[in-house]
Amino acid sequence: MISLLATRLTSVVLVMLVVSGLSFCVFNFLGDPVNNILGVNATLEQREELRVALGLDQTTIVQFWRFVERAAVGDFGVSYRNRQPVIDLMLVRLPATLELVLTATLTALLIGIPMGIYTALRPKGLLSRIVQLVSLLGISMPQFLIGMLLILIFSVELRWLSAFGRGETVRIGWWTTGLLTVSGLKALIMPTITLAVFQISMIMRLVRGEMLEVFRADFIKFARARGLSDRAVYLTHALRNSLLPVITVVGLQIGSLIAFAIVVEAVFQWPGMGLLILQAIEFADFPVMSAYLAFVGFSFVMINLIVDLTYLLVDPRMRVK
Amino acid sequence: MKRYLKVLLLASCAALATGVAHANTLRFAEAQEISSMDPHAAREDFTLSLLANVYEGLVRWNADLKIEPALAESWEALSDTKWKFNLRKNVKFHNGNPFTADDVIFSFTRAGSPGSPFAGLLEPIKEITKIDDHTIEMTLKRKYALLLNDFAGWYILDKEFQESVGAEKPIDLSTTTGGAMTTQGVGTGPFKLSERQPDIRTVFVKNPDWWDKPQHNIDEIVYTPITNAATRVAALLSGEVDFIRNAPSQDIARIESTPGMKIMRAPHLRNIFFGMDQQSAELEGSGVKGNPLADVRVRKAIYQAIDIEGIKRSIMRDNSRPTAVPLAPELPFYDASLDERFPFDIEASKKLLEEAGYKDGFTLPMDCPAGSFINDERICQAVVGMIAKVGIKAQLNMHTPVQFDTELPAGKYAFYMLGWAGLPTIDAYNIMSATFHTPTGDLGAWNPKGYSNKHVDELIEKIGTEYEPAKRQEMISEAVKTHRDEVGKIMLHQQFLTWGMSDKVNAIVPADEYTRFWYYTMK
Amino acid sequence: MINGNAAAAERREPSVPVLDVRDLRIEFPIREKALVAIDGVSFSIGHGEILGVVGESGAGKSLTGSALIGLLQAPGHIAAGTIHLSGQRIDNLPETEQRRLRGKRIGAIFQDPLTSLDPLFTVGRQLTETIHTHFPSMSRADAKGRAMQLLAEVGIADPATRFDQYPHQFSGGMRQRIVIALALAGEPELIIADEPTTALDVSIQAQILALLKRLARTRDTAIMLVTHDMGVIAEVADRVAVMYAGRLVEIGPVEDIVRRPNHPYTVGLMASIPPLHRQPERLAQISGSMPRLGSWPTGCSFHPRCPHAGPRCEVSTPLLMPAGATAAACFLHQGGTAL
Repeated sequence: MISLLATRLTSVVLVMLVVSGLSFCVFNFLGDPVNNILGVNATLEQREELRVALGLDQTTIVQFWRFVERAAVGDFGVSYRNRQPVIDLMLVRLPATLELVLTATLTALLIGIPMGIYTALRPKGLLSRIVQLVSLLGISMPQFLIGMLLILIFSVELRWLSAFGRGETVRIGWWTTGLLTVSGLKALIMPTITLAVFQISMIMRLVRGEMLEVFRADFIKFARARGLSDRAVYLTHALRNSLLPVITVVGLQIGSLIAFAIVVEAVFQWPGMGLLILQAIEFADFPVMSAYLAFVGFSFVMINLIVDLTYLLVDPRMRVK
Repeated sequence: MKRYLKVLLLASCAALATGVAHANTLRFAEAQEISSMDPHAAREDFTLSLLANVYEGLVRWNADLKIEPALAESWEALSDTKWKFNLRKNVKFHNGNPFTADDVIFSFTRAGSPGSPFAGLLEPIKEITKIDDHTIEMTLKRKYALLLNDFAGWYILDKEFQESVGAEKPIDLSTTTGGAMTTQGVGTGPFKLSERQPDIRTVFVKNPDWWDKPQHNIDEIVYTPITNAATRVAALLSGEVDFIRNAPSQDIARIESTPGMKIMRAPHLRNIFFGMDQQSAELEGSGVKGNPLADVRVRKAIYQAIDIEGIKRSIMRDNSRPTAVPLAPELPFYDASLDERFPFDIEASKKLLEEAGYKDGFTLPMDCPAGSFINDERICQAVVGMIAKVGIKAQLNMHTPVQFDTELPAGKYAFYMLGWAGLPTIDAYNIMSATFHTPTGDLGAWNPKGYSNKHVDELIEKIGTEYEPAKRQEMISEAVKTHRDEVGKIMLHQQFLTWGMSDKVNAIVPADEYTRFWYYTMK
Repeated sequence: MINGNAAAAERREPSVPVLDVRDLRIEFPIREKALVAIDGVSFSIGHGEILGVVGESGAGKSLTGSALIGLLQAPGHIAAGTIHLSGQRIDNLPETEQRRLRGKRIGAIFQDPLTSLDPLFTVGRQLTETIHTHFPSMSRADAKGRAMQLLAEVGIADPATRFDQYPHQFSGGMRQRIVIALALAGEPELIIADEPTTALDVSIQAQILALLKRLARTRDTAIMLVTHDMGVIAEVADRVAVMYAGRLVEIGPVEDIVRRPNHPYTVGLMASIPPLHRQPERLAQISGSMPRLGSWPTGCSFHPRCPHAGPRCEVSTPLLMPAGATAAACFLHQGGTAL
């Protein structure tokens, strides 16, 4: 356990280094932010001065090393676009993304798992077939389309929900939450659905597949032979055994949700990290981009760690030795 | 429980109703975000166009894009290089501080300091001296014709406020750890900042102590950046915002057909054209010897192969005006007699190519931005098809705006789409010096390896220093005509601004795309 | 628990066998056709008696076991015949009633102890869960006590520690003991043990068989022991039923079946018992192999492989008739000739 943590922590550092190193290589192809800062009327001399001042005239390796040096002491620089320290910017945007990703994950689990169980138990029922069909749609429909469709229905036609933003937020320390106000909760509805649709479908299909697999296992047959009720057989034994792979996939999915959130945040103008990175890419806001990518690397390793720890919790076989 | 809810609901409805009754709130959405409340931090049109409501310069552009006095009441040229400005009295900053000559000098030093994006703008000024609290004298390094134009975009800050928040200098991105003016700022303008959450919401309220007599009746402006165009349109249609700039072409009909919504159209200063490498000896990747683009006949052949009316009709949906010169009619010194295109004529085009020795055509590397200009990608694709008919095989490369704006001035493109509005100077000189002039020193930055004519270069330099309007007109017309006849650029069209808004809003749509809210009224 | 025993005692009447199967027929409807998997099987098991059911895999042994505990895999179903448990007919009970029998009156033990236990729960939890299912009013503490008692009874040392351990912490033989403890949790009258020792080492096999034998004697439980291993049968069974291609071909006391088999198939089967209790690779004495379900021949299913087969065997099916000390389904013993 301790050694697991130790190896993971070293891998955090490694992954973050590799990811941000790669990002620095990509920067060269993006263009540079000088135009966005100085405007089109700047002279060549002014452009060059700014490039030197920002260190953009240096080689990728030198730029990367400077970034690492500063990042090591927690200094990620200043956003070219917002003129704010990157750390402040990220901290302001983090709660919005985390709240969105977590509600979407929760929604996906709360809908996906029961639907998966249902369709596994009644594979030939009409409802199961409908659910299966809808889930196929959920997997194949682009999020952008889902989001725009929701906006057209619920904002433009019905005028029930706001097409953009996070509603009213409440500050708790540095954390801003939209979970404590009516408008904040309402604002969460459409982005959450958009982000969760794919996950719901995927988790449902996964749970269904795993359950059907587990149903064939000897211990399920034996559990029934022991006289256990269907409820105990399906919900205690079959479900718990089905959830092992689900945990892995859901863990990885939370990571990809952070990535998927970029699209959803752009559609709903959700002021989170996804929107931030999108704006940063458009502006060639390198400090924000490298910090964001380092953050994503960090999250992925952390999520993996949490998945591993959850495994320990759920599967006693992993605990030995 | 239910009853309580009802009471609560009624109460909040009442509050909302009364709130609406005595406040005109203009809710505005655009793709970009105000980059900073510091008007010296970035020379970027969108930010400056919003900050124009908070800060003011010595002069300002009025509704008709004419220069009018603002913080300077009057001025006179004492000599070719010495000006005197009489500053307006009884002007107060939003924090109550009086506006004086010290603030002008402070703002000059601040915006002109090395590393500031405005250093170039203020470069012609040698020094500013204070005569008294409301009089200053300005010495120029050389004769310069566009001082007032530039001053409209140079905003005056309160010295005392800037020093109190530690923002004596515009933020230096390479060293500083933060900007005091990200979320605060004090000007003299018709509106003052009341709330700012970067990337979420910025609120301006009416400045009741404004020195000018307000023509507007707006109490509050709520600005929300909405990056995604479709969402922005949806927000307008759903009544969540009252006003969006730049309604996308494909949504214009929908907005106009929605009850209570309208589109306000006006020509934009920006003209779209193709720039070309006319200097290189060889055109890389063309498959032919030499550089076809260096031959005026080839340039003209491409020009005449483009069905500009077709582009206007089917891509721009009539929201454009085909042009022959890069100056918009809304710009001073525009000469309508020059604005006549070479006709769209495939046969003439083929003949020109044959004369130039490119009967079998050639391959043309073509670079376009995706998202810089209205329908840029679709126009470029259409042009690829059009010039294919005369045998020119274009290889189209699309770029993100930021990549495009980096690679174009570096001379990486041979044939590229570009648009120029001449902001913030609003004068022919800006357009010509950036896109006509042979690239040398500060001039011709956006004409890499492009059009080059010594005589035109000389004219441009003179246009920059000539004060006499008649003489300027003559030189500008001559330069524009020469450039047109030599097909220095392949002109396309002038973009139209299409602003979508609620019927409640009565806006002005100026050709420079600035949102001058002090002219807006709401029903 | 006490009530359970009392009820079991009440049901016990010397003349009524614990299990009585009559003319059992199991069909699998497949593509508008019904495949007959079990045909006309009849047998009974008395108190404390171990009936060994032998045959090659696919003969229908396990299917019969599944039918008895009501766990036939759909679309398989009982098409004809009756099953009585201590005089009560159970084959036509609704699913909820049948479930009440499972684990409670009929215990089951499956082949692979490694996969019979849920890997994610402690053996204690699986035991108390089963006990609570059958004795809902029992307190937590009593259930735990009962579980430990069961663990001790099946020969698990240190039940208190073992109670909180997970299946993977036990050896194969130990796990099969736990499976047996689980099968005993409801105090069943009948235990169906389907290949209980096949997956185990030879030395462990003997221990498990001894345990089963002891349970049958001490608890007076009827055990149906399904196996293809004649060695196992010879060691523990009181009587033996031989199955071939869905039919019972011979049944009788273990000594007679082993020493004086009457059916040609049994004869072949007995010849294959290896000196040590090793599992035969295949039936060396009988050429060919058992046909697969669906391609069973007409008449006596065994006739293609039978050294004594005559024309009659190809057209009509012999019934199970007394033949010496056993009963066999073969024309050789019915009218003396297969010709």
